[in-house]
Amino acid sequence: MTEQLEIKNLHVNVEGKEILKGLDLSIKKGEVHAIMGPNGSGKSTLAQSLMGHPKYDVTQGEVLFKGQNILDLEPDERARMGLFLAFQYPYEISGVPLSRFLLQAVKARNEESAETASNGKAKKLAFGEFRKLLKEKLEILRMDESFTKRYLNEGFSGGEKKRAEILQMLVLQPEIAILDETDSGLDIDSVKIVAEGVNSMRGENFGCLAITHYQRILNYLKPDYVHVMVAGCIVKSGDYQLARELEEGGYDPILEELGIEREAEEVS
Amino acid sequence: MDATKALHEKNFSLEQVEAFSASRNEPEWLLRWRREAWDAFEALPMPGTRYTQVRGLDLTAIEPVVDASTQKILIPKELKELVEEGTNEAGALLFVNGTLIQSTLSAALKKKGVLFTDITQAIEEEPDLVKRYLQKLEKPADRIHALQRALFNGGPFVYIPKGVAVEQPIKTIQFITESGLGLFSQGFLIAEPESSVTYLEEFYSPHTELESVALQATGSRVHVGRGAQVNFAAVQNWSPQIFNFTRRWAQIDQDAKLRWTLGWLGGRLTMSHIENILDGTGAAVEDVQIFFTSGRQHFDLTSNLRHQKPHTRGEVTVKGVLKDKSEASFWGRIRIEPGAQHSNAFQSSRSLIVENGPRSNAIPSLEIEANDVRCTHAASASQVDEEQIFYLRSRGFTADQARKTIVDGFFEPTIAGIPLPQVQDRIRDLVDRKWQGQI
Repeated sequence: MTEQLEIKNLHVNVEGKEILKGLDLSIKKGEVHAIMGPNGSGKSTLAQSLMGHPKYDVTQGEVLFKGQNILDLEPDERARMGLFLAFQYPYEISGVPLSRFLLQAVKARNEESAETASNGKAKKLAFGEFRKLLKEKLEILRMDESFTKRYLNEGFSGGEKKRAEILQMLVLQPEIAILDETDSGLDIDSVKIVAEGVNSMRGENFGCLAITHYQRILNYLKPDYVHVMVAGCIVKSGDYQLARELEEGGYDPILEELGIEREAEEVS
Repeated sequence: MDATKALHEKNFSLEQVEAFSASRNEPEWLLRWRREAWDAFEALPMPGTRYTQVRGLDLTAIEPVVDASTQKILIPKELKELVEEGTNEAGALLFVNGTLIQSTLSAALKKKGVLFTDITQAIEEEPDLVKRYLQKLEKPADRIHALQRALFNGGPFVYIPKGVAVEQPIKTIQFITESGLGLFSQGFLIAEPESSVTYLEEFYSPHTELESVALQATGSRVHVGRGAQVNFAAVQNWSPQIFNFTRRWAQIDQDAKLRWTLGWLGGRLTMSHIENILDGTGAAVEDVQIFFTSGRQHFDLTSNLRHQKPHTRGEVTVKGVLKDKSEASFWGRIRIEPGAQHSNAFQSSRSLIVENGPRSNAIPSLEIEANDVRCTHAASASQVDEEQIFYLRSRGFTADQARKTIVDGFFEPTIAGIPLPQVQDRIRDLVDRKWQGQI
């Protein structure tokens, strides 16, 4: 299996302060990885940096996606290559119905496939096909079609926003998806539905990096690897069993074991 | 001075006004009316507000359109399409460079007594009717307004008799193809009691062809009789060399309803003033204005509500997007007179600034002299949020597509609320083309 996403020695500053301090992580095709870690360890910074948020200043390191260094690419170029970020706090885009937004996003994604396709012909998605695809994905997430007529995230509850993020992922079919605390603020049933949505993507062409505070969603996602992130680095990696240990004992035993002093909590 | 020479002088003069009136064989009362306007022209200052001065318009370089016969009119291709689009409509007037070149009105409407014609023709055919309404006009407010009065040479005259419902929209298209012209238009829309009509105006010119400035000044008077309903929509898409001054005055009688839908896209400087007089119990007006400025465009828009009778309702919504180094100001005054108890007035102005260059001003004012009324106003100007841009870009939208998506979303609820699908489509299309720099 080939490396799909490789993060090498990544250092990131936010407003002049170093948040990521040499992070390494590698995700192969079809793998699901989970990152856990105390508040302020830099998890969201990692998610935003991978997507290319201009506020996050990469000072060192490399991020290879499908073998290409993406750090010089614009966020939309990364997205069109097949990278996806489910936002912890999705933004409201007033006046833009979810369905129209999705259609435009799918079109944008397909333009890239046309550029990379060997015959140079655009893979055109007919409107009928799009409706069919959307309907199918809505069913997986148990969302009503009327939902897509609403303006993107405007007036959505916290749970609806998270589901809408996963709907976008399902429709856009990325090759790597980063889920930034998609499970926080969700009730048990919603966590399950969201996880089922992610699981429906599982396969050879889909890798996932799930950032979370809770074992709950991991019960459904069953990640191949679990990583513990502290102070801008991954300090321990293991399998699903590691998540259970964290849920039971918290981070202190691991910090103690590794001889790391817990930093004062800061917002990452 | 030689009358013919005066007629075509570039420097405006009383002789020119007189020669013009004589060339049209106008009645004495109209000549007097024009002379009074000329006196006002000499006495009044140029239009302007705290944020807007007229710069770059040399009145001595402007030639008024006075004589239709000397003009060669070639209908450009894009205009042909626009006119053909109008053939489904019950009636259409097409003015090119201020001259009426096409006029249609369905036989059924003619039979019902509907008039839809150029005002100069209406003066010949229905002199008493036109005289009655011309003499009701408010006094000129500034130099351009007075000039428009003194030299008006055309404009739509719409008359809907009592109880007549005009089912299909009727439409006026004003087109300018030449620079250096001064176009002065005076329009009327008179809806007698219990009548209804949807009336559209399009102001249009090829985007790049004008070599220097042109001046277009319009006055419109709208009377909405008791229980009548008028839907008045206008889209202004002049080329960037045109100075545009528009004054609209509406009187709305008991239980009558007027809805304005105005789209402002073109022109170098646009000054628009709407005065809504709610003059009968239960009268209602809704004024929705959408603007999109770019380059060095400057819009100065005023919409006033004057509540004179009880249970009147006024609602003004202005929504605009500003790009580049453009500037827009919105002035809105709500005046509720002592007799206008139980009235409702609402005014809102929202603008979205796409880059750092533009300036946006909103200046509301309230004068309330009745104690049992509801009156609110809201104004905001916001920048496109970079976090929203990042969110959209993370979904594959380019920076430009992301900005356009936010702009579309900003306009959308207002555009979707326009009761005329063809106006919705027109405004959306013009916003797209303007975004792409085509207009």
